[in-house]
Amino acid sequence: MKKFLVAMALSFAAVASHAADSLRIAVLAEPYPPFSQKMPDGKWEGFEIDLIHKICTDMKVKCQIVDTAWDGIIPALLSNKVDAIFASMSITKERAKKVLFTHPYYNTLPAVVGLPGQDYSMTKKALKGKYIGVQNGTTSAFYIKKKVGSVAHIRQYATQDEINSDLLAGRLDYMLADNIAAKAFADKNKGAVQFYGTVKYDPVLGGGVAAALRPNDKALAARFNKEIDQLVKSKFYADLSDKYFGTNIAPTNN
Amino acid sequence: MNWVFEYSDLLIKGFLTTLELISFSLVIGFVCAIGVALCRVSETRWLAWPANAFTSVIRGTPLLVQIYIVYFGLGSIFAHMPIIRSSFIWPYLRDGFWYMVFALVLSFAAYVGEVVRGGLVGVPKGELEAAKAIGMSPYKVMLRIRLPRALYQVLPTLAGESVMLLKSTALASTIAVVDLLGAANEVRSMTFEVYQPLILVAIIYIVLTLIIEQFFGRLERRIPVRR
Repeated sequence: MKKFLVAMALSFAAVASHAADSLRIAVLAEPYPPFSQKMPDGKWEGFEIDLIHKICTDMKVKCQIVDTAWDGIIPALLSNKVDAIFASMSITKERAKKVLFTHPYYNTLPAVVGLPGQDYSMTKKALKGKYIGVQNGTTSAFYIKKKVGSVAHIRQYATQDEINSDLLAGRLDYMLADNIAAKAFADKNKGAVQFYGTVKYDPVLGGGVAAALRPNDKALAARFNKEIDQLVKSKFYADLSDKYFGTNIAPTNN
Repeated sequence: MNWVFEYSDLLIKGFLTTLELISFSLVIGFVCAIGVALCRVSETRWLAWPANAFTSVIRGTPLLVQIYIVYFGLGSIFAHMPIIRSSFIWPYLRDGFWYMVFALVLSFAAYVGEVVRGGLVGVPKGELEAAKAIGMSPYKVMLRIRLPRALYQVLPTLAGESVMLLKSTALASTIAVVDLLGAANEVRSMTFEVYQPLILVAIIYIVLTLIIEQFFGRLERRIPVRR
């Protein structure tokens, strides 16, 4: 029995050490185009996916993409089911208490999309009694609650996908989401919805989008930071960003 | 545990929404269930057959799928009808709450309808014949003898079904209705307390379950039935 246990322990140790040269990267399980989405053939596509591949190739590590639901993504990291999160997660103070952020790899503001022909402004007066959809636990949600949470009906959803379909169904008047994702959605549904532009910066929006690691993975963070710092200034990044968004969304002060 | 106080408003609101969901769907669902059961045992085929089909379909599909079909399907049909959109009921129809109640009522009516049907079938034939013999009309036999007897008999099962209904209300958060679980999920996403809000939710559900069981237990004891 003892021998068996030792053998078991050894094989577990072998598995653990094997896991060290490959990284499990959490991306959003739900489609979040053009950042990440699973195509019908099962392949992953999007700006973030391309970045992950580039970073992993440069760092010479094997990366495995693990799709994880947004509301379980930090728990998945902390319970060691994944090693890093690349899921358009903005750096915020609250999150930084739980996870270790790398340097940001992109930075955009949230934008407002709504039913067409409304008299929109980000004021309590204009949004009084309006139904506004945001994704639970996003900086957009924190922002809208701070700005008009007392007068508007804020509807919180588990995924961006559900917000989009409820806006198209006319159940929502507006939704607030990351500029790029919002713009892509508005362009795809011209006529049905209108793009009302980005919001003004507010500290609640955090400091750009970064990868999240477990707090004790400091060495890994240093490796990621070095790679990300180089990457965001590179031509590869500029080209990739241009291909997807027609503009460079690299964080400016790095 | 600071989050309990910090987000108490949100949690209490969610708790009240759960209570509303369970009470609306329990009451309306129970009335519908009796209707379904009566149709099921009816000898008129055009009543029995649709009730049969309804029960099979609802019991044969997952509740979550039904909720999605009602909310995203029915809901978006309403949204495209200008008459409804400009009317006073739109504020209710744009919200997920009533869709959730509707889906729960359907589910409860199907499951409990089947239970009540079993009760109706199980009423001793002698009692029905005795009622008929003293000159009661078929309608009176049903109202005074068969249905009450059936309901007494199914009370314990009804308690179980009500608890199942309570647990089904937790699906409300999937269509942006902030029930108890929805509120807890909001707290989780804001505080990143992963487990504690869920444990609080579990405890509250257990307490509610105990209350429901107590309620039915008392009801059972109050009804004089000689077994």
